[in-house]
Amino acid sequence: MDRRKFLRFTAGGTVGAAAVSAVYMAPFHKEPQKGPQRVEIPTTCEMCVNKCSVIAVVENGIIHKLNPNPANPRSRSMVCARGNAGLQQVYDPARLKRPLIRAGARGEGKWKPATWDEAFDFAAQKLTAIKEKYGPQATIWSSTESFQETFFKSLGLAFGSPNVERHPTLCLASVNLAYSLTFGTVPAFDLANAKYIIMSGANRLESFITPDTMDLIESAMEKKARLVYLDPRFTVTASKADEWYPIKPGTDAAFILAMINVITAENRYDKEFVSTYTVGFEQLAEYVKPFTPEWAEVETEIKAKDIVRIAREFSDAAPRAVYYAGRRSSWYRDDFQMRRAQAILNAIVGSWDRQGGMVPNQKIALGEVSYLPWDDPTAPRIEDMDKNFPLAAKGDGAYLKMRENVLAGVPYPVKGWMVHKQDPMNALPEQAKTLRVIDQMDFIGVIDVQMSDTAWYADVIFPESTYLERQDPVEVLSGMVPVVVYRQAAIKPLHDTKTTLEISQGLAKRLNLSQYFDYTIDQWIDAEVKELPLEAPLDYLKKHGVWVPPGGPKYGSTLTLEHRFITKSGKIELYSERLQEAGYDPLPKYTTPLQPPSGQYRLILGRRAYFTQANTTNNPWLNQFCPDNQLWIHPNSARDAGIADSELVEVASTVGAVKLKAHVTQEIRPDCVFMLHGYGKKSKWQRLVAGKGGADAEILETAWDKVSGGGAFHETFVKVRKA
Amino acid sequence: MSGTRKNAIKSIITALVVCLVAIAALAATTTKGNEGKGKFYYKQDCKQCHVKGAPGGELTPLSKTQAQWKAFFAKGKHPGDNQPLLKVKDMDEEKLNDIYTFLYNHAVDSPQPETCGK
Amino acid sequence: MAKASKRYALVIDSRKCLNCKACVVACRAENNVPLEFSRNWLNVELRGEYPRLLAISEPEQCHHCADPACVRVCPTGASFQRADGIVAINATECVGCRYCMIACPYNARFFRQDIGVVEKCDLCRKRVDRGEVPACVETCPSKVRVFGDINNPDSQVSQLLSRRQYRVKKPEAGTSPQIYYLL
Repeated sequence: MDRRKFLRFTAGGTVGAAAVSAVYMAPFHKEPQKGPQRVEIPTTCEMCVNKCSVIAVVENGIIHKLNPNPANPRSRSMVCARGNAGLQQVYDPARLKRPLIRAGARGEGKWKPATWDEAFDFAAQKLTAIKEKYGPQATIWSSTESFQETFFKSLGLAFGSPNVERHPTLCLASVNLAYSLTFGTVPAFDLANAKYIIMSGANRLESFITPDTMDLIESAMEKKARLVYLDPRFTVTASKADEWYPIKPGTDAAFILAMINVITAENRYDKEFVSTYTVGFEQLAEYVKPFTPEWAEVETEIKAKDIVRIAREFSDAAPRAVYYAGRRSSWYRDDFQMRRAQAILNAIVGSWDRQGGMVPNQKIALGEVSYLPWDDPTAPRIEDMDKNFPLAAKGDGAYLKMRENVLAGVPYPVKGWMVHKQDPMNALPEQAKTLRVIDQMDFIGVIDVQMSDTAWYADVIFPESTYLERQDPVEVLSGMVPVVVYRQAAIKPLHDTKTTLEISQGLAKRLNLSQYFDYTIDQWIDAEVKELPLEAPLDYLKKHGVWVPPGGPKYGSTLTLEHRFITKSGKIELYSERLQEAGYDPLPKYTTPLQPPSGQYRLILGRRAYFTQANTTNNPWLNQFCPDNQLWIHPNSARDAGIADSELVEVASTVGAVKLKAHVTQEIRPDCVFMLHGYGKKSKWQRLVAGKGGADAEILETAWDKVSGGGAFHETFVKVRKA
Repeated sequence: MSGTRKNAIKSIITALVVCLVAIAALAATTTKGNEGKGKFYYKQDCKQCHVKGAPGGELTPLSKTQAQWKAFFAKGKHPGDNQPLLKVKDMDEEKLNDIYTFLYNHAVDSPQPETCGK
Repeated sequence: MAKASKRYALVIDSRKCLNCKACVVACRAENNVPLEFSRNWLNVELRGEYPRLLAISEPEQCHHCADPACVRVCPTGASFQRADGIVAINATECVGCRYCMIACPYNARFFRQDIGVVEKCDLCRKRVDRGEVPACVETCPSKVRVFGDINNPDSQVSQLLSRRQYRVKKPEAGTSPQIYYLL
């Protein structure tokens, strides 16, 4: 089918359709922007982390629809529910429209509108006061990923604070670290060409419709690959898998170690690959001897004969066999060990840099605006990464350990908190602690597009332009096929909002840090695209929204005798000396997880296809699919607790209690309960979810993965009773 | 002063000088420099000669192991023309140390766990 | 009945449906559908006994019947069928009598109180006329819906129908629905 031309002008609809459109869209904007009747603008979605390419259809200055952009081989011709609902972010009547300065007490919801000068002056004055009294390290700069995050991060570092906290410490820090320590890099998974795929709780067909989803659909759903799925919950992926095992929570590492046991004992590993490219196999083979399938059956509640069969099938299918790494936050304090076990399993069957296996990412080099950066902060990070998490990615920090230290005032006080795009009130467990941190702060500044729960408690709010109103830096999505994606504004900002670069520049001016922001976004982009092998790269990107380098996926570039893996030994490390030297287990350690005491349940988390974390539940086009989160509970457990379906229940942990309705269902193990994220909000501007349902953040207990410091979210046991 | 005492003092002074020189040499190879600045200086001062096709040949942090970088900076010279690194453009001790820190921290066997985004 | 030169139809492989709601939101955006209605929907069902469970998710919308009862009963001619098979409603001619809603075997239509007319899926006819496919078809991650001309033997829909077994819903209603569900 012939694809449309971009930036094409077409005649608009009938009078009737326009009238209906006006009736429907009227509440969402003050007056239509003037513009051509119909224009298509390629850009990049920001409704989640996947950065799919979309084409904004703008009619008479109003964004009418976001269509897929098939030029992007990653997102292909797909826009998920969240992507389609993106234009609601723009036309949300309750979005942030101008800077606000708190007028009442924190959390009271009283605001006075401010000019940008007033907001910048106020924030700079507060930050400077903190710097003078306590030092610049007394400020935290926390962010979640975005194309403009780099400017916010630079501002924090230039200010002199070492405490830049980034989202991987609440996300896949343990995956990143486990695979980095094993392979020297975190690879992509060639799901489209794999023949045998095992996923532990990675609900790829539901949580985040991603390019990996597209690949999995191609292989597993079209019956070209076998999918084995382990999850205490019957998710969409469970429903489509060839085999679903409601594995006992926390025992995935036992399953994997037993697989390694079978594969090594039965000589099913790739001998040539192991001897050429890895170190530590002898130690591994000896180490896994006790982890028999019979032992694992007791741990996992998966039959030994199935474990044996799966191990055999997996190794037979290798190298087109992968145990998928997963993409989400840690579950347990020893999450890292499980991810290490996965990496090792994949390595010994030789599923590396081959079609259908794990494939190292290709990158595309972008240029940079070159400037002499700031001096290193003089104070150490507050959570002392060198001492507590010596192997973790230092630049990301360890969020929950940071919070503990902030509350304890050690090793130094923290009095200021700047937040970019993140909602720590919901992103962090044990909300009561986050509220105590808020109480301790002399100053809180938040950059966001909507009144999040964290913004609700801020002293000043800097409203950011939405992704559909913004020109962003160019980004590279590294992968088996790397692509350059472009984000340009579909419409001019509707309200008095700015970009994060402009906000950083406004603050930098008043903090005497302008020399680090002495460029426009256009100059930044010009420097980025200069290195691209294109005639007129910017014209190309504006027109197409995405650039795909020719060549396609490359397999085998690391499978040469000269190649040196970025590890201590230069090889793939099944046995890791680096871990050992740092005082950790050089081979994956398994600890039988604690089980909930009788009458309690383990609280597990997960996603729906139409929500992204906590920040989309108030989007009316998405909220309608689940206006109220519910507690999933197995019928046997419900009966034991005396609870009926749809009854209001109280769910209590050691740190909090929330009330929400019960959803009695067989789709979950009897020893677990489940709830969705992003409800029970405090921000009254999020009318659809304010006070509705329960906030998991209130009842989750604080726990983190020991090696990476990443937040662990499945360690909470709860009591459930009629409310 | 007696001859032996003079000699003793001479030896002590020599030893001290040797120590100071050694310390100076060591100072050029600490890893406590500013790697952000080191990257900037590397691009500004070193990269012209160290890209593909240029006289020095392509060189990135990944070109050497940490031990190799350490040895290279301890020697303090370019092997090709024997020119001391400190004589390159407007180099000084601090800049050189920053460059060394950047290269050392991103060497091919350095612990540099990957993360999402920048 | 004279054979139309084109007949558009949908072939749906529900087995691939993830119940992700992308099609519902895409339709809402494309056709300015108010929040309380939907031109398309997903029939969702859970079967079995733990741990042997089966989840079914089946997309549905107007079936653009070859013999549409809704068109037959419409007193004003607002409901009409195009030569290519698409059944549509001319909003300016609809008086809101809702006889069509009673006639439709699939409950595909809804009444817009705010503007006094009946509405339903029209296979995004403006997109189709531009050479594009309906929004629900285009946006789907697993390409559950295939759209095309079943009078063209080379079209993907025709190929699927010749190779695979399929069923239609409520054939007994006699309207000759044009959504084919692959088995």
